[in-house]
Amino acid sequence: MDLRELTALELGALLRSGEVTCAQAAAASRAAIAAAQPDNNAFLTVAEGPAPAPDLAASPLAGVPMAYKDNICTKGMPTTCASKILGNFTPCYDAAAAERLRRAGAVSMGKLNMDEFAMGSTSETSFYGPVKNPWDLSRSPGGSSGGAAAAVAAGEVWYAVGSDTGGSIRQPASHCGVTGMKPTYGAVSRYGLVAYASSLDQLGPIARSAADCAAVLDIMMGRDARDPTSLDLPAGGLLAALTGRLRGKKIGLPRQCFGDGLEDAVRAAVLAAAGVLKERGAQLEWFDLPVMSYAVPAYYVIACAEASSNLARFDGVRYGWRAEGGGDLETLYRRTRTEGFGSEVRRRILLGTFVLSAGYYDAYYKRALRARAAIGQAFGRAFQKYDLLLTPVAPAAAPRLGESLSDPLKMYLSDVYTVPANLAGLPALSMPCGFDGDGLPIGAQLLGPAGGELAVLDAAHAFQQETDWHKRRPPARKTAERSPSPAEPERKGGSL
Amino acid sequence: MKITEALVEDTARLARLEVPAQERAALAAELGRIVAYMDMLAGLDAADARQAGPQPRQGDGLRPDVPRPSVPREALLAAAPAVRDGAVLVPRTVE
Amino acid sequence: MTWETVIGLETHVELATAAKLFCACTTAFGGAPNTHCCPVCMGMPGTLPALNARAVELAAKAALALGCTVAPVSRFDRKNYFYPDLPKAYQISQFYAPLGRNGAVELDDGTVVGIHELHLEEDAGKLVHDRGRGQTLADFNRCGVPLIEIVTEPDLRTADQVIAYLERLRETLQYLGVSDCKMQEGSLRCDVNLSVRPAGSTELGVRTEMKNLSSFRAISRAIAWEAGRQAALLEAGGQVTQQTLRWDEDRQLALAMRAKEDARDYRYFPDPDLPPVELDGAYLDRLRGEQPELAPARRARYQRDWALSADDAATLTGQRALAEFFEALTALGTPPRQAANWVMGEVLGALSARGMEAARMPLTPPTLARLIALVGEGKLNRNTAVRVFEAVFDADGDVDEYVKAHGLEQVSDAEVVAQAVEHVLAACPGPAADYRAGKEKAFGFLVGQVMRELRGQAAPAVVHRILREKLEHTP
Repeated sequence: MDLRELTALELGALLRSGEVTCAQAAAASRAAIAAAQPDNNAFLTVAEGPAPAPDLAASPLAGVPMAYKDNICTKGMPTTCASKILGNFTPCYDAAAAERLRRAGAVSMGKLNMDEFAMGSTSETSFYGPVKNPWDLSRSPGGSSGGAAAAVAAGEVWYAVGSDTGGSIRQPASHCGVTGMKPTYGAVSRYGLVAYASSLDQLGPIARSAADCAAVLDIMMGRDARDPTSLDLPAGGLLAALTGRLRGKKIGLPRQCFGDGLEDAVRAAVLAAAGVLKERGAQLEWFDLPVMSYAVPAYYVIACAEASSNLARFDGVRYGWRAEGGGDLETLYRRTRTEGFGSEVRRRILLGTFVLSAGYYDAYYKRALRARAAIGQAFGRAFQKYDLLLTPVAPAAAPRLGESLSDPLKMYLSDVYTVPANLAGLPALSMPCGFDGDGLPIGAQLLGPAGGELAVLDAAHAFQQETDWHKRRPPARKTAERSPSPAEPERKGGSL
Repeated sequence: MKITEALVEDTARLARLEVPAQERAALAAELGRIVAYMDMLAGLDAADARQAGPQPRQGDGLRPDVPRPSVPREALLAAAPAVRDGAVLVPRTVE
Repeated sequence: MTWETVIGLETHVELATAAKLFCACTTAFGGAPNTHCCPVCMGMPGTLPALNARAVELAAKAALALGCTVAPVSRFDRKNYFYPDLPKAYQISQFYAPLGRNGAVELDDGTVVGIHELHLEEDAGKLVHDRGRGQTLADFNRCGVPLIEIVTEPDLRTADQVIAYLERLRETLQYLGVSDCKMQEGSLRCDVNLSVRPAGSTELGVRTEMKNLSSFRAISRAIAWEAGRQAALLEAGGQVTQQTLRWDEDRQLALAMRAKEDARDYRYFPDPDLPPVELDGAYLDRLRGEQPELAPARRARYQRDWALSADDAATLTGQRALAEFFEALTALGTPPRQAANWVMGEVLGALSARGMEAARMPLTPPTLARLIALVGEGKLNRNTAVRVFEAVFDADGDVDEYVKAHGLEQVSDAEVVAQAVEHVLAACPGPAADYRAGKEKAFGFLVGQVMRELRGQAAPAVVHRILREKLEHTP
């Protein structure tokens, strides 16, 4: 049996039944990482030595190897945010989500590559080299949680925890053919997630199925006194509540998400997904969401403004890298920050500093907040009518490496379908729904109202009971030579 | 909104970043394109900005005033670039 | 030309919480460098602020007592600037929606000082300069200690008014339990905004801000110095530059500080990590209900109800705990005049000898009330009572037990006193004869001898009566 073909829940069940030992699971993960790392550069740190034996009764995912995006603080393990400036930083504390996962028996295999400080849509802004897409190593896995999506797609770990500020979980999940979810803002404590844009950042899972995502969220969600923006949503019970029933659910399709700029292959795949949902009993309806056009400018104003302040603490004084050569305090600040941050991070800090400056605050920052409020209200009205919304995740499948870096504005515009959920704080999930002409995965996005995690997951679960896109694996490379295992026959039905 | 080289320089000073003189013009042009796109926000006429933030919390629902032991200094300063006598060293701040 | 000085104050007061504003580290003063710290107050990556409920409550209490309107929803903003004492490179403060606005404080001279706003914010760390090595050492123990900043309108005109305002502010905040207001530990710090204008003018001149004023005396001197400097400058046809000055108490002059950042460069924006705080009517009503009677009201009441002098009333209300101690004595039946004398004399003396605040006094009102009652009942004389007071003060000992155990009860038994009087008269025939010859002074000497014979425990009235009888009725 190739353990890498299993979902996280399937592996968890085998671990509990004793058919597979935790050591075997960890060894399979370690071997997969060793094989894939030279190709895809998904990991920044690989955990050394055997993990302490987890309590297998702690959760359905106990003992299942997983990994964290490298902007999630892990006590005693480097947390670099893929930046030079935090190259030597090892936190003396765990993120709240990591604490909860450890108590639930999660086995961490290490830390995953990403865009520097989660700023980017391609995982190419990492100081430690770009991540490559397991489906086509000449392409980006998307970003910023590109290492997380690539590692799950390549079978290195069974699930990963990423962060999503403007699509950073959903878009790489889409580009890598895996399932990723950003829950409601505040559903998961942000304590220990190195902030990019505090009012938009959320942690969430990248896994092989909606059911796996539900199981991870059951562990991570819940109020945490250390994060005052965390919500007291009903925690746990998502996995148990999945039914796959869609009958009578009303799903809205915003016309503005299917217009210009969307590649035909993506439109076709997402509409085909809509058709599957309809067959399962959902009612589909087109509607207008004109305020969408303000989402990208509002997002970049707010995200950069918050980032300029959040990243000011990286000044070479208390931790992290400090520019050599001495000099006065101002020189130390400027050189540390100029040499320690990459160009995309510097660009966003400058943009954010500008939009908060005296004389520009009202014209940019305040207007962006108004647009954000208007977007939230428009979604509020939509969810009075619809249970869920369906949109593409990205305008096209994974771009070629190097293609996006030359034109930052073009890269920003590609976030158009994902940023609205962050601005409005809504739960949103990306699920594989097909391939383009180059054999690259395409994802569809489901959005729900605030606190509507279950509705989103259940619809995706229904879709995945009906289809097998989420079970497709990238063409095996080096590993295939060692363990030739033809793709398993397609299985219909739930993974539970 | 035109982004001038002087504005780039001023913004970089506030952000404690260096922009070499020879890169300033190109950066100003690039930021100008992005800011021009953001100017689209002026076209929206709506909504109270304050509705964009998180819901207020009641004053008595906050963290109780109970002190806990602090974290050992060695752990806090383990990643500090320069330390002396338990304090973090920086270049002098007074003339 | 005659110049009028116009002054507004920005006062920072440390709140009396046990834990910091956004984390659970202690607010205790001092400590070895960086030992009152955690990842949150050190601004480490990924950490978040969690607001201390008590800090909000204390700030709201202060705002109410200073007559402010308390915002139903108050918000926190980030003030962005780089400095090594500021770990996050922003200070969490309140800029757009402060907790309190539009308050007023009336001074004894009738001046009304408008309170422009009162807001919550976090303190920064401490930088120690090693000039020898050209280095600065950063200690983050103070980082995140909760402060309120109280900003007045430019309503003050003289240094005396400034001191009167600060004393009233300190007294009020101490009464509320909002702060201990110790200037020497930096828990009350005041910056002075000052401008001058020709007398009679209604326009404000260009102002300067003076910092590093560490005592009331320094504030008075700095005001006189800066008002003089500005007036001289204007007299000479010059102009005042808007700038921040640092008062140098050793050299008795102020020097311009190097600006960290222009005010317009702070880029204030709402802190996305902290939800707004809602203080509803019920919350504020509870705080109003908990507000103690403040010192000015008590002073008026003491003068009105108990005919105490203004000075005595002021002394008794100098500390809330002292006033409450005094009032508790009267409630236990001690006559107000006697209670006042004991509190202003023995109690304040004992506290000052111990360097102790009234709030920490071990002695309780029932103990002192009993002691005063024993004197009143003639069971103790006052000098003995003072000895008993000293003995029971530190452990709030039992007065009756102590008196009994040490045999201090006053001797009022006529036979015992008479015996002692006879002894004395026999031993001192000279003074007795002097008295009979009309030298009234000799009587005092004889009283003293009798008291000595009875080890000071005799009731003076009884000694007087029996001594006179014996002197007059025996040859």
